[in-house]
Amino acid sequence: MRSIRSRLKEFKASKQPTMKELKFTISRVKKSPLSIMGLAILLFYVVIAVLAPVLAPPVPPPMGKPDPFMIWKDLNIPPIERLFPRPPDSTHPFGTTEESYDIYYGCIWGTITAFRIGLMVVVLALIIGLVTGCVAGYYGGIIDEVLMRLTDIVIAFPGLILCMALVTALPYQLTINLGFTQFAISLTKLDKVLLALVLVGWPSYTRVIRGDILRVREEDYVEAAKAAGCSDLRVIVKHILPNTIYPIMIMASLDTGAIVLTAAALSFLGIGAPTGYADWGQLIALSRNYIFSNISDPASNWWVWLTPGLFIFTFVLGWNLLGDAFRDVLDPTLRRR
Amino acid sequence: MSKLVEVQDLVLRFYTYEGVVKALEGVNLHIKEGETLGVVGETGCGKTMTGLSILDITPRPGKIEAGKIFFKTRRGKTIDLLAQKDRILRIIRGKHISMIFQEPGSALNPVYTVENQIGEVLLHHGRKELLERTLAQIKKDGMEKNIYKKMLENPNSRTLKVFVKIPIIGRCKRLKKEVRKEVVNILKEMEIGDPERVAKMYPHELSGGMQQRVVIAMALACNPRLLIADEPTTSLDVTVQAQILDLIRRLKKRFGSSVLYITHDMGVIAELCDRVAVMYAGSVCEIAEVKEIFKNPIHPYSKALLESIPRPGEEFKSIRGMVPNLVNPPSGCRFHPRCSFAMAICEKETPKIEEVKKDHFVACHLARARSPQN
Repeated sequence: MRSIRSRLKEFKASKQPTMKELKFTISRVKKSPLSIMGLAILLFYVVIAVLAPVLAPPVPPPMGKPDPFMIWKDLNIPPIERLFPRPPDSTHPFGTTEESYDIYYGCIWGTITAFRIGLMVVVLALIIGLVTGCVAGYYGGIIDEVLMRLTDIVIAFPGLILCMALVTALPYQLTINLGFTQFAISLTKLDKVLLALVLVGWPSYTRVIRGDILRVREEDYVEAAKAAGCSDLRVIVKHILPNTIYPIMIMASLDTGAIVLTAAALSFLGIGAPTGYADWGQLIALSRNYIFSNISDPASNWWVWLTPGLFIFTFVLGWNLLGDAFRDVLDPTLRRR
Repeated sequence: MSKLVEVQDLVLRFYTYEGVVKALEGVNLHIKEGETLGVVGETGCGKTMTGLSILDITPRPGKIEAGKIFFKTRRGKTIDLLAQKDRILRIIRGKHISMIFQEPGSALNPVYTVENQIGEVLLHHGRKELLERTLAQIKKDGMEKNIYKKMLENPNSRTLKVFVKIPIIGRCKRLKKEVRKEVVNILKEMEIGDPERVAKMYPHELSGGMQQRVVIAMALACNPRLLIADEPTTSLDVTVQAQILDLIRRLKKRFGSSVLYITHDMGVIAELCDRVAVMYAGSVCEIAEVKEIFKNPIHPYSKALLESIPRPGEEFKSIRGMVPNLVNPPSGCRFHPRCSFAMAICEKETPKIEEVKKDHFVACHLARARSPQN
């Protein structure tokens, strides 16, 4: 056996062309300041999400809950004052909402929730979209027709309304009967939101992927790949997808922001995360009564909505900027111009 | 010489909104071992479709309705390609029959380097050989040797293919090196200067001539027995065209493969081919040796085609009329509306392809009436 060091050296040497490409990619990123900003914002949020237990250590019961995702309530405040939001002070850096939920804690742990919702929904929708889009686009015919009409049905409804309907309609216990076996999945309230967003989100991916595959399918190199003896799966995965994946990556990146926004809207409407759950939309929902509550001084109680609002705003902005960066940097047909 | 490929009564139809396009209507031709058969004809007369049919990769909504394509395998058995399962066809495509496409720029996948694309073909068809060669290099016993032995036992195992891709643990470096060596060798054969550098380039970094060489390299990577060249020089300028023709001729001699050369350029045919098949509106109207066709064309279409080669100092002659719409082709002989020797029978009856002289097949009523047998 050779030493690990020599193996590492070999590995480095074998990855040299990859490294060269990576350096080129980085040089492309450096040329577009907006994409750097997008990356910086997201990196900032990643750090917050990773360091959440350090930045905002969970408070033990009775003030907190055993689940760290539940925002702790300050029970030291006299009961009557707890009903109203309190401005920032030393124990509550961002202030508290009504019922004395700590905004700082909610914002920090809400980052994890935002990433979880955004990424999971996008990844799941992307997987469904990829499979259905590839099948519809590549094989065409009846399968294509059925899948496209299915997407039509979903797209025909306004997204948010359909999401709301699905969240309320989905049971907490989902029983799946496969004929030979059946199993039950218990869903939390947040899982239901996730599932609803996936069910509403996949058709747009399917359509974009299908459209691109229809275009690339007729290219000569696909025919050449077939003439070289590639199977359908190989043609799709190795020859068609690398040429069609980039618009979808951009879309996915933009969508991650949009989905966090939709999830926040659902929370705001009261059918998203359960009360007290660390979620930005939830925090804004808690501040619902204090947005412009005082006509003569609209900015009174500013802390209840401004901080979570800013968190959502910058998070979505970060994903949108990253989407643009993806286009400039990753698309091999564009990057060397 | 025995027949390597024989196409019998091939019928290809496209079911489109405007109607059924009768793209190929009873194509008959054969290619002998080691020969170059040229296929000429106007645009849209089914030359490319014939080539694609042999590989059974006709584009949608095309459907091969009838006909047989016999192919002689290396073991000497004759099989009907159209009756084979997809799994067997995939082995034949690329390894036994391969194709060069018209536009080298679009026949290469823009996201892969030259090395990756040629290497893919090599690994797809010659994985076992490459593994054997790699295994022979490893002298020390150990994990590496064991992995290669395992891969050799089951070259198409998907788990092993994935495992090998994991960096540091999976050791496929030697295999990769072997593939690169092979790729560089093939590129050298294609007379590409500095093959090591070209191997690492992306298709768009290459010139048209270079791209076509890479496409040819891909097609010849597994020493196919039949090479279908679909107008490989049409999009290149004349000097590069001459180089590519030279290259194809030399490679053909080296590898001993047969070539089906599709073109509309009579000059290229005269330069390269042993025999010529003239196609018109979806069927073959005349097949003969090159010299015979140029000296003594029998079918009126072949005659007209030869007359329409521009010559300096002479007035340019063209064939009157247009290629018919293949949704409603003319009845009988499809050439009769444009033919200056058309007779009454031409409108009613489709002529069969028959041998008028030795090795000279013509599908024309006129020729049959004149031929000595009748």
